[in-house]
Amino acid sequence: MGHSPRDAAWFALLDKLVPQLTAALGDAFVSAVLFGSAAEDRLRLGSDVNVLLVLRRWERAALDALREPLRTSHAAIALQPMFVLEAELPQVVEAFAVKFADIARRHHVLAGEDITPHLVPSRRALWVRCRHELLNLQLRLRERYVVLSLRPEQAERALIQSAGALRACAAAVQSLRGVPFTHGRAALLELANACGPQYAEAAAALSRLREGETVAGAAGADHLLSLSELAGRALALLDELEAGGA
Amino acid sequence: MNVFDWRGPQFVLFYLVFGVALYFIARQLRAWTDPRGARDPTPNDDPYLVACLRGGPAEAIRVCIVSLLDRGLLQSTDNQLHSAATAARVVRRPLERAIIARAQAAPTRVRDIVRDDSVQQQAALLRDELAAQGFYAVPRILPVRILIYVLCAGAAIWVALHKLLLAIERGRSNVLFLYLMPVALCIALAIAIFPRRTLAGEAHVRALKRLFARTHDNRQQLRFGGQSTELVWLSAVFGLSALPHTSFPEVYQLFPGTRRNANASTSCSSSGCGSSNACGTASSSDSSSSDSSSSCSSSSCGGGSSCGGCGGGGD
Repeated sequence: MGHSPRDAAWFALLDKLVPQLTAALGDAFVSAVLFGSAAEDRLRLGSDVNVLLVLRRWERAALDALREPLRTSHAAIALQPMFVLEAELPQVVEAFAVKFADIARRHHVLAGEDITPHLVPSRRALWVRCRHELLNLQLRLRERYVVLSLRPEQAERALIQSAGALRACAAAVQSLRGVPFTHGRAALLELANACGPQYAEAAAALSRLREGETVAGAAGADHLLSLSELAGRALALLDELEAGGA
Repeated sequence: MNVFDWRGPQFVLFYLVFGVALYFIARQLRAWTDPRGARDPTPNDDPYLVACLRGGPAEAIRVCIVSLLDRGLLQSTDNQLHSAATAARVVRRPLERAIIARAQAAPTRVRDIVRDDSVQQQAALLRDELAAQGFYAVPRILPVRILIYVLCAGAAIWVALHKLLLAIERGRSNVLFLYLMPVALCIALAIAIFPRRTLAGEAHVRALKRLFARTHDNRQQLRFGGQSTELVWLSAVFGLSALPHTSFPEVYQLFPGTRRNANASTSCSSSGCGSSNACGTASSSDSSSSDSSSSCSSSSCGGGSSCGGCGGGGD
């Protein structure tokens, strides 16, 4: 696959880092899984590079030796490593079900065992955690609206920052509803469409913002509120699923 | 068709084309004779090594001073630096230790630190390491470069001189351009042949700039206070002038030369963009020539601004 020079440099850094990790950790290393936008080859300049590292045990000496390269990688490409012990994985997947459902959907195994079948949370855990996330989003977006929305540029930044969580939740909701989708952005757009035109407009504006466009004037503030309401609508959909015994 | 019989404007055009060709030939010859650097485009984990590659040993010292200021291990009062009492126990790298030791005795001016023997010695070790990696021009390749320069500059001078003698013989008086053109071409050739970095070093700096493009684009968010390693890497890869003046006025105060390029592009032209005079004045972003959460604890699971929440997947 052809990468831009920047992305090529980023992936070259990962290609150098992963063998360092596997060599240093030895048999304590289980798997390295790239997830998020980097796994889909949809890196943007502001994207983090997320890597799930599954270890058999915590090897402090080996990881100490990796602190310098990991710090450099964090500075260069915003590498965000998540260290999970193999024994912890089942409970971590259940506890952070929305995140792991997202990882299970979009990932690329960089090295080691393919542990992705173990990354799929139970339906119940996904429902509970998604509800929690949506409630959190509702509260957070309201707070962002009141505190930041008088300044359009701050409202835009708040919108962009909420995108990842909104998309992951939308994907979880659609997945629980049995609605097929191609990726998180599509899931959010489809969910918003299903909930009403004002939500669809806010979701579309969010996508445009992520592409580097700006929203006109006070529209950012409206979108913050619309997305907060959308989180509420999604919560209602989840409750309907529960009531329907799905 | 003898080009030496061509009239002034035609000959000037010929000489321009000839000069451009000679310039690229000189670069190619240099490419063949320069030591091969590592093909690995990823950074060394030492930002001071990168600063040294980009701007020389003095630049590595300046970046190190800024990093120590950022971490609070050096303090600046009236443009004098002094180190915190515990600093010597905290720093790891030899260059940092040398700077802290210099500033520990008494408040010291930046230029005195840059000129300090032990500090310079540590910075020179960085240069040696880069030379060993094939990124930095070392004295042993100088004879080859001089030979390339003599050949190319000789050709440039011979062509102009031959035309000049013919013109004088034919009684022409408007021959000033025949003096100026070879001088300009010889300067351009010197720039092409004698940079401190090897071609591999230049390619490495370009690769680093691509790799750290994100850090550069997000530089307005950086603040003093040792919050992250971004500041030292930004300074190392792009130069002190990449630091936003509004957030880092101390840097611009300590290194007044930086101010001149505060708003300038961080890439450099082939003529070089400024120089380091080894007295604490960072005059450019690139003083060498020819260069042209995923973790559940932070952003997501269990944390968060109001009720936490696993923000949901990677970005």
